[in-house]
Amino acid sequence: MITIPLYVILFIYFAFLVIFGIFSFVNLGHIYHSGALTFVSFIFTIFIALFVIGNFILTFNLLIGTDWQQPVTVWNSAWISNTLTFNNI
Amino acid sequence: MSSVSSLIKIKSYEHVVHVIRRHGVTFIPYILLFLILICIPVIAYYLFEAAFTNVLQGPQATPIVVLAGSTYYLALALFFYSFFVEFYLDCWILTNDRLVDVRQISLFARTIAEVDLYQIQDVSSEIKGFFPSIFNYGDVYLQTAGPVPKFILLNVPNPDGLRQQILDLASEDKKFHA
Repeated sequence: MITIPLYVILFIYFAFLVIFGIFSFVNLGHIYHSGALTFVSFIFTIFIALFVIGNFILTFNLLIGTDWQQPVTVWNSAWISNTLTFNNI
Repeated sequence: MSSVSSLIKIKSYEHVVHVIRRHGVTFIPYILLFLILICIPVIAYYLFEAAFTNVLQGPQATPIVVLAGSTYYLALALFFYSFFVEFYLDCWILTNDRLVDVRQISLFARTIAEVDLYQIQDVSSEIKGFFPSIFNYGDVYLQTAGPVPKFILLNVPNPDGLRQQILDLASEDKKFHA
């Protein structure tokens, strides 16, 4: 049986956030450097920003009180052995 | 630089007449796709809950489900924003001297081609289909004598008016290159 602490998944999420941030800034840089700073692009950027902020707030609220030290089983050989056991047939 | 001059170097006698982008209506399919993709995890969650009660709830499962959902929605927002940037940065810059085609192929790929207006031989416009007819958008085709023989302006608003504008500017420019 292999278990990992729950905070490992949180670190994976943070790694994704870094990639998300980089690509978002690339997009913003494209808009800025291409002379596309218009009302339309501004409104669209605000809409996306609000969507992302809403996502963060909701995620944060749903994760309040989580015990990040608790173990999570990522692999258990019993899952396979139970599947291959035909005692119940 | 936050103007089109960051894309092209404006000559001393040149001025930008028009920056043409694709008609906004052509972005609606992306918006609809975005809305559908927003709904999918919610529907999937309720279907899964109905089939396997309380599997997605509990001290271990809940944080994982929340983080997975958050990741999905952030990725969705990023893809949607990238689609918008690619859509919006595709443009054609019409000056009194040339037409510049800026094509944002992907987030890390862009091509810029241009044609001098005096090299334009033929301009035609096409409005084809139900929505293009209603919202007055379509394609403008340019035949040129330059290194890029054919230019296509896709899904631009008011293609007939734009065709006439290009023809007028081309005939003006030909006076200086006669």
